[in-house]
Formats: sequence, C-alpha cells, structure tokens
Amino acid sequence: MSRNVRKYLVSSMALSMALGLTACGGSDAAEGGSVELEFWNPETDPAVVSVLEDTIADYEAENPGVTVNLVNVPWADIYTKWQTALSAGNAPDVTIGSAGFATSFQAQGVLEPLDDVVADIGGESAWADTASTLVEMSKTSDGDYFTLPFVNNSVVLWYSKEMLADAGLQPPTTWDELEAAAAAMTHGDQYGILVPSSTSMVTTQSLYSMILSAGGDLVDRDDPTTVTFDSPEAVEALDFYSSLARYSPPGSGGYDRPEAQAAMTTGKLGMFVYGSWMQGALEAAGPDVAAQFGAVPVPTNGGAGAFMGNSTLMAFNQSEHPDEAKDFLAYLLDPAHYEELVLANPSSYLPVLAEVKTSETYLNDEHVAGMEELLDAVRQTLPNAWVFGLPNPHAGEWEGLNLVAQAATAVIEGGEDPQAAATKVADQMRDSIDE
Amino acid sequence: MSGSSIVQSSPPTRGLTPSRPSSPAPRRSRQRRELLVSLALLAPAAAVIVLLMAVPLVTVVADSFTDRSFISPTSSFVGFENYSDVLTGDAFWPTWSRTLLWTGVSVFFQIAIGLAFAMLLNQRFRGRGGLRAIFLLPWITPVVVVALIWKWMLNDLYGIINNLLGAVRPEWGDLAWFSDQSLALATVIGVNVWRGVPFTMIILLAGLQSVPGELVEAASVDGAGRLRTFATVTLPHLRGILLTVALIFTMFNFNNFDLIYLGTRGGPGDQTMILPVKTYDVAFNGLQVGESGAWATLTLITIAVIAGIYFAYMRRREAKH
Repeated sequence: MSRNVRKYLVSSMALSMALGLTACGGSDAAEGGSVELEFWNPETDPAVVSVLEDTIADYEAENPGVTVNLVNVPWADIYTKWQTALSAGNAPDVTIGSAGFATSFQAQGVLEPLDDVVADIGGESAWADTASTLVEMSKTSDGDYFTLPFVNNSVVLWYSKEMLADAGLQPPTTWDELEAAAAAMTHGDQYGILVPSSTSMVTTQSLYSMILSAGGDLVDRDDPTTVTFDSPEAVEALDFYSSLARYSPPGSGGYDRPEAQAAMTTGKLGMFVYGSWMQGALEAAGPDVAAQFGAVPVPTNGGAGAFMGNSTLMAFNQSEHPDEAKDFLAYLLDPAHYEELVLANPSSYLPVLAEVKTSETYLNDEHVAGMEELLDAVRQTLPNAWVFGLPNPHAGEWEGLNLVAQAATAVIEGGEDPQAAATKVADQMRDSIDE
Repeated sequence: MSGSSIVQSSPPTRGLTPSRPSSPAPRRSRQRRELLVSLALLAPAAAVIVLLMAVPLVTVVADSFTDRSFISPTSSFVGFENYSDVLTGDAFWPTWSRTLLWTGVSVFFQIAIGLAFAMLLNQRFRGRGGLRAIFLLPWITPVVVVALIWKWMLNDLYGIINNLLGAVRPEWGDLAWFSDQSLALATVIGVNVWRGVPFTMIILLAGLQSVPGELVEAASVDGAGRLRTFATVTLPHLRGILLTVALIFTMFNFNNFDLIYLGTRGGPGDQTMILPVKTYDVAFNGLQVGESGAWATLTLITIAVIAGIYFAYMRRREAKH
C-alpha cells in the first residue's frame, strides 16, 4: 500500500468518524465554574437585536459569573426549533416567544413557573393597564405565571386622511359607517378598503379583528375546547368582511403582508384593518406617505377589540440554571433597559411596564410623539384586544395553517356560503382538538 | 530455524507475476486487503450519502407511520392511519392531479419553446453570442427574485404589465394574475416556463450543434423542406437528449417548491397547491410531522413510478436499437 493511499485512508477514516460523531451526538458546553445561559430571540430588527446585545453586556458586567449567549432565530422558524430542542433535551434556558406559543408549551408542561420574576419586578402593579389582557393570558387558571408579557400591539383601522376628507366623512366607528365610507371612497382607480382574501396571516389578522368587533371569537374563552368559529357572530363577521371585498382591489386575493403594505403606499386605498406595525413600512416609503394615514380602533358591531400582537418571555424547565434564568428575565424587564427596547420600534412595541408607559422620556421621544394618534388607537384597543384563538393551546397551529383566512378565501374567491365555509373550518379546529 | 528455511524456499512475491503464481493463502489475504482498502476508500462518500440522504429519507418514511407533531414532544406508532387520512381526505387527489398538470404543461412548453429558441440561436447571425447570454438571464436569476419581479409586474394596482394592458383595455389592467381562480395556475406555469426555457434551450442547442451538417444538406439537396428536414433529420438526432431533458425537467417541476410558495403559497384557495408545497404546509404550518411524512412518501412514490416508466421505456428503446 503506497504512502499516499495510506494517508488517504487515514484521512477518510477520520472524516467518516467525524461525520458519524457529528450525526450521533450533541455537545456539552464547558462551564468551568461559570453559568452559561442560552437566550433565543425571534426579533430580527437590527435595532432590537442591538438593544438586546447592550442589555446582555450590562447584565454580564453586573453578574461576572454568568454568560448569556444570544441566539437569533426568526419567528418563522422558532417554533419548530423550540420543539426540536425540547425533544433533544437542549432547549434554551430563556427565550422571547408569544402568549400563543407559551400556552401550547404550558399544555406540554415544559415551562418554568415565573411568579418569582413578577415579585422581583414589583408585583402586579408593575404592569401597565394596557397590558391587562396579556397579563391574564400569561397566567394559569390558578393565577401562576407561565410566561411574562414583554411587548404588545394591536390591529387598528388605518384610513387615508385625504380620501376620507374628500368624501366628507369622519373616521368610522361602526360597521355601517365603515361600509358607507368604503363605498364613498371607491371610484375610478381608487378603492375604499383593502380586504385581503389570500390564505395568509394578513387575512387572518384582519378577519379575526372583525370577528372580535362583532362579539365573536374562535373558541369559548371560559371553555376553550368549544369552538365558536361557526357561531352567528363569527359568521356575521365573515359575511360582512366578504361583502366589503367589492370595495377592495381585484388582486386582494393574492396579497400577503408585503403586497398589502405596498398597496397602501400607492395612494389608491382608503382604509385597511391591519396592525399598528404597518407604520414602519409606511415610514420606509417616505415620511409624507406615513403622514397621509390616520388610525382609529376597529369599528364595532356589538363587540370590541382586535387582533393583539405580542411578545412574551419564557424559561424552559429543562434549564440547569433556573434561578439565573429568572434573574436574567427580571433584568430584561428592568425599566431602564426596557425603555430602550420599546423605543427601538414604538409602533410595534407598546410597553407593558407601567413605569415605562408613563415615563417622560418615553412619551417625549420624538418618534413616539410623532405617532400619537396611532398609539392612542392601539391603547384604546388593547384592553379588549385578544391573542388569536387563546386560550386554546391549538391556536398556534390554527394560525400557522391560516384556517380563518381559508374561510375568507372560500367565501370571497370561491363564492362559498359563509355559514358553510365557517362550519368547515370550525370542524377542522374541532378535529385538531380531538386528535 | 524452520522459519528461515521457509522464507528462503519460497520468497515473498511482490505484485502479480504470471510466471510465478502465488499460493492460494497469500492471494486470499491480498484480496481481503484490497477489499478493505476499497471499503475504506468508499467510506467517506458512503458516510455522506447515508447521513445526508438515507437518514433523512428513512426518518421521513418512519415518521409517516407515527403521529409525530411539533406540538408534542412525544409520538406513537399509528400504522397506516396517516396514509388513509391523506388518501381519503379532500385534498390529496386534487393536489396530486394538479401537480401532474403543472408538471406536464410546464415540461411541454419548456421543451417546445426551448427547442424553438435553440433552433433560432443555431442560425448564424450578428449578435448571436450576446443574445444567448441574454436568453440565459431567467435561469441564472434566483427564484425569489423571479417570483417577486413577476408579482410586482403583474400587480393590479402598481404592476407595469397591468398598466400597459390597462392602456389597451381598462378592464385588462384589473386582471389579478396571481389571485384570480381562473388565472392563477396558468400564471405560475407561465412564470415557470419563462424560467425553465433558457436551460432547455442551452442543452438542446448543444444537441443541435451535434447534428451532422452534411445530413441536413443532403436532405435539402434531396428536396426536403425545412419542416421535413427537421422531422426526419434533426428530431431523430435529438430524441435521446429530448428524453433526458424531459426526465430532468419532470423531476425538477414535480419537486418544485420555491416558485409556487413564493408566488401564491398554493392559493387562491388551493388553485395552485402542488404536492411539495402541501407537504411543507402540513409540516411547518400545520405542525403535523407524521402526516407530512405521508404526503412526502406519496410524492416520492409518484415520482419513482414516473422515473421507472421512463427508464423502462429507455431500456426497451436501447434494446430495439
């Protein structure tokens, strides 16, 4: 056997063994007496990541024995990565998530109770009044925290100030006024309202807000295994939402978030029931574009509220350092660092801490002051806003499959009867609960 | 020492010497050594294949017999339940037949238009090289860019194509290419054909250049028109390449995920939903790993049957010739 062949053999064996080892095993971080915490973050906004990095640096400086490893995992991937990590026994110590995901994990029994953290940050009085609903969703029926509110926002009714003024109308507060405004603003190449009918999140969030405004919901909140998506209120909302499609651009059935936000910047759309987070896209299109729009709470028809967007904090009970993990979570909710975080993206991150919500530096921030009308609409909405499908632990699954949006697509694009479309989707929800 | 006398009486052989055949025992040992060396040389490639292909494939098939989901960390064996649910549900057969339609129509037009362009670019004219490079652009453009370009150009509010169409007839400007029930599938097939044609064109152009010029000239001298020359001389020469391209593009289109996912996500409704997108949807939006494994396995079986038919046809054809 020549020397070259022998060398090759040795290298190839080494490579094979390395591949085998890589496939077969994980790795344990060397600790060397210090504590390492893994912290997963799904927020990809560079400004937010930068604030989190600064917060971690300060925390490590104040706690010399602790190292926090920030791992950025986008929202689109994080749920499957959590589950994979949980199955492998190497879930992160702490993570940013959401009330919906947390409810699902709580049902699986993999979360660390977090009452100590709430006590550390000052108890129940630490929370802002606008976080009251999210606070309730973060607790078990016994009042124990399994997740901690971090930030929230809501869907509102966006309207073009100029188009509404041209129609001689005030921002609508009821469904009747909403339809009248949509009809008045639809002429020529102009459309009164954007009603997405694609099977996507944008449709889900818009339609779910209309369901809440009609007094309906996906499940009975007192008995979350009872699906109510085919109840009269929800069907009425689906029917009304679908009827508004006649005032919407013909391509609305293909609009997901980017197309919908881009459509709003064309100056051809009068209204849109959508999240406060759209402000960022409008500002990116130009300050004059953002200035064209006003915002009010979603018009009501007997109900109240709208889709609530949120982030919450969680600690997995697989952590070997639960005390340090909870200490770090309390630090994330330290008002000084927390205020920096919410100021990184004020239209998406409304503060859940009372101290920050009323702080002068927050309220007088140029960016916050510049979107006062929008933030006011969100603040009015939040006490009645609701996280999609909670408290049913399958809500995340339904949201991912865009089941609610499927009903809108079936009615608007497929011409199905609203009651039949709602019943079909409600049955899918029931099946998933039964499974 | 008896040992030394043995060494002296039968010196070790180096290499194969026909005049002095080695005894059976050393030959067996050499064969064993060569076998071990061969296995060791194959090991890295085998490890890569096993880890990157066999393990995921076996895992997916194994998962399809469980109720594994991303919602629960535990799972149990459910036999063929996922398969019976998928096969008896409303979604499978329409999705399956739509995938065949998407694949068949795409392959047909990708090859037909690719062949037409290849014949055009096989002519001698000024600027031919530049034109070949330009024609390749759709293929080298990333799919995400292709999907976004077309979605923006065909948008009903701000799309340039819709604006131009609207100037001709106002109602054409309102056409919702990606979301109209009757247009969506044709639109994504059109974009797919646009993207695939350059690749078929380049391969078929290479094939055309291998057609002997003297045969074409001879056909021409014998009075054959262009169409007849194409049918009797060019096409028979291209048959092997055409079949190969057809197989590659059948696989490519059948397994296509990105263009439809980025363009329509299977919508409106399920009008453009094909098997790979549905499999992804069930796994990563519905979080049902076991059920998506059944979708993936049924997709694999379908494509394996298509490939099997192709190879059987090729073998018969080769045997005939």
